[in-house]
Amino acid sequence: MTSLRVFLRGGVTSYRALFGWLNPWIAVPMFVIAPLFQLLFFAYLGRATDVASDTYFVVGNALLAASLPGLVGMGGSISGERAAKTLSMLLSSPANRVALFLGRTLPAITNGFVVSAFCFLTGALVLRVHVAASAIPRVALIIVVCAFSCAALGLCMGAVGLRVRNVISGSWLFVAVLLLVSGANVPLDRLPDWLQTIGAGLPLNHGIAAARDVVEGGTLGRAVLFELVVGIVYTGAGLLLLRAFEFESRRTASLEVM
Amino acid sequence: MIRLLLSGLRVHFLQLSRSAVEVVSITVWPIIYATVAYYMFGAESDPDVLLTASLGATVMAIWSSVAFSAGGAIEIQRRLGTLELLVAAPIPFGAVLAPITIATSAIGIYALGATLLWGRLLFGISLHFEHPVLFALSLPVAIVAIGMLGLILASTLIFYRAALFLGASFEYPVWLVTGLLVPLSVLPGWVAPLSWLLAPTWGMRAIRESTVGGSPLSALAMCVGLSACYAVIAAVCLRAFERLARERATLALT
Amino acid sequence: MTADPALAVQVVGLERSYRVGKGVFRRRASELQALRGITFSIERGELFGLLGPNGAGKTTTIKVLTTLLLPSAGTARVLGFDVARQAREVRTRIGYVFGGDRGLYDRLSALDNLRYFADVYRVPPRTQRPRIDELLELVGLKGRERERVETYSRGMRQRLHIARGLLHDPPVLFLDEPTLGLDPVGARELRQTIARLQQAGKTILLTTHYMFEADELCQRIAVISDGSIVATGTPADLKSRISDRTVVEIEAFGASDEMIERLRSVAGVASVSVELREQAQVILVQASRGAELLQPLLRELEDARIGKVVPRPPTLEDAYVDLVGST
Repeated sequence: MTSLRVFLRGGVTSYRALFGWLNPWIAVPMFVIAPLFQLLFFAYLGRATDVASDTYFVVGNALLAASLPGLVGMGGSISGERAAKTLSMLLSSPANRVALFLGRTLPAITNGFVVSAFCFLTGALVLRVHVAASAIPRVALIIVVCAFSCAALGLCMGAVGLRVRNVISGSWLFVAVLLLVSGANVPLDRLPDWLQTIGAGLPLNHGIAAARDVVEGGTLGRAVLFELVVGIVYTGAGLLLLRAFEFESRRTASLEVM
Repeated sequence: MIRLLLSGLRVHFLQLSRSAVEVVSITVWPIIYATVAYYMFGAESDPDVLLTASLGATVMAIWSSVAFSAGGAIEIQRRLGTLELLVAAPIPFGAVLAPITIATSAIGIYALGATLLWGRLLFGISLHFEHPVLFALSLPVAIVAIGMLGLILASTLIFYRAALFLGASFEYPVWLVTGLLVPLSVLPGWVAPLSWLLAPTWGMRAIRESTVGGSPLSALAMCVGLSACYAVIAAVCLRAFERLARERATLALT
Repeated sequence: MTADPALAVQVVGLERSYRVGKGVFRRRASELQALRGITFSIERGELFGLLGPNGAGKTTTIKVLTTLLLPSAGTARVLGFDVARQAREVRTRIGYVFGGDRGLYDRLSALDNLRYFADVYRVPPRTQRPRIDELLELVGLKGRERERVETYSRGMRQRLHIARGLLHDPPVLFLDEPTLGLDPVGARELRQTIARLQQAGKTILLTTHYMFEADELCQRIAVISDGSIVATGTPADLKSRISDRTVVEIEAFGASDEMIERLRSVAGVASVSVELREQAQVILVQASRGAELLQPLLRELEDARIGKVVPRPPTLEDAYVDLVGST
């Protein structure tokens, strides 16, 4: 029961950790306005290049938008904890670490969800792309899973950021790469093999495919499970990295790492 | 005056070039967009189309740089501590600021180099220019024109300090409206007149037509004309800025 | 008010207030009076000091004189030109240097910085090279001008600042706390440079809160406190204000406020100020000379532990404390 409380309470209080370092004047243009226009951009590009229907792009970019707070925000929240000197406290607390850090992904997931919803709304209003009411719950689930897997990747980036400076640009690098290899805009079969392989190891590939299936009227397939697994793997990797760095900082007394 | 503009351009161009973050973001993103465009247009496409897509990605990168850095130009000078010195100089502040915003546009040549090289190496897009001389002219003219649009951003956004990051929201909309990658023909009709007011539209047109054929001269003329208009608008805003800064000290110069 | 041609700087009744707003949405405005009508003048070729505690209005004064701020009331003239209405003429003739790390393009070399500012300050191209060489020599940076400013120490940056301020050979220089944050050696070298500049005929207005600096360098000083000038004169003049006094410095541990109050009522005592240093309090008592002080003072401090007791003649710092403390 304690773990659950840690999970929820930690998540809510660290909301400020996520956005403390990013004031709303930056966050809103970056996480809300930009994704909406990105959606329109690629939908129109899709029309011009005759690649796929508007629906294809709405789903793809809505899920990309869900990834943004997770990828970019987590790195910042971890540096924020480090700056507030609470990171080492957290890591040395007896609270279940998994619950702790998963809790910290909650704000990113919630935010991602909200932005995604905005994107679908824009798709409906401007591009007349409608998601069937029956499909909405399943799409919502997929959004959550995608936001989670991206937050997990963000967690890894955050951990790496403890050793490497300027990890925020690294997070944006992933945003850029995902734009290309996630299948959001470029159909995966058009990509060369090596890019497809990279994409398969990153979040969103499976999630986007699953979402498109559901929107077209299909059932919730295995793809969403694969997405979840990707997220779990990255979470594990992130926690291991944090553990390793914590250990190292104790061994080498490099306190500034933590 | 010309000497000052060139000297200023050089100084600020170097200041930007020596920042790893700036250079990385202005090379990685256009490569990504060009690659996305390449695969969306399809490898079997007309090579001209693909070349144009690369150039479009370059101009997109130029606009991003301008939207972010030019919009924040005054804020950046303030953080460096040089804003006071520049305002206290015996030349019009606009003459000091213009090279700064044009420099943010000029680092786009890194984007150009990156996307063309990438296109050549990975997709075998051959570089051939229909009117090479006009292309060599179009690029700087486009850079200056977009930089001057940045001057307006710099002189207006300063009144709303918190809104400086609205530059982030200007990226995609401007890319769309100015037809850099997405042809204007697929957009609703009311977008066209809006696009005529923006320098990137004409800059892109000049670059495209000197590359794949057409007449870039009218587009070049529009760039020059728009630059002049932007200069006037910016001058008015900057005079207001300086007056307010001296009177109220709310637009703190430090 | 007509401009006096012999004066480099003429300030009459200068006032400057700021509107300070609180809160983001409902701005409650209040007026902050930074300068409350100051009057002073500087002769050509003089090294004038503006001395005062932090927040007294020194930087505001300089910003008005360098045309960065408009006066709320009163007039200020530099070389006869009004700072409000003839800003351009003023800007051509003044150099502005402030202390600290900022104010330079650190990813560029010193030479690049100087060349740029030379253009910004309209130095004719032909004169630029020799002038830059000369200035680098003057501030002792010759040989290192091609290195990036980000590799410079604070002292070097400060010297580069001065070189920058002199590029257009301005007859009047405004130096705002130039030795702030410098190590003692660097600060001393800077002061020597400033003295040399004055000897070369430049008019200099220097703000500082270091008493000894003002004493050493300045020909005349104005002491500013809380927006008003409380005294003007040569360092000797200011010291003579309290030359009839003697100062007793008492190191005390645990002297209560009441005890210190009682010191004030001892016969002959003009002022008492307390400085806190680490564990001890240093009580400075200014009193008229000839007064039998030590016994009565120490009697009031009976219940406290006393360390050193040093009677000494007054310094400029004491004069300053007296002036500033009394407002």
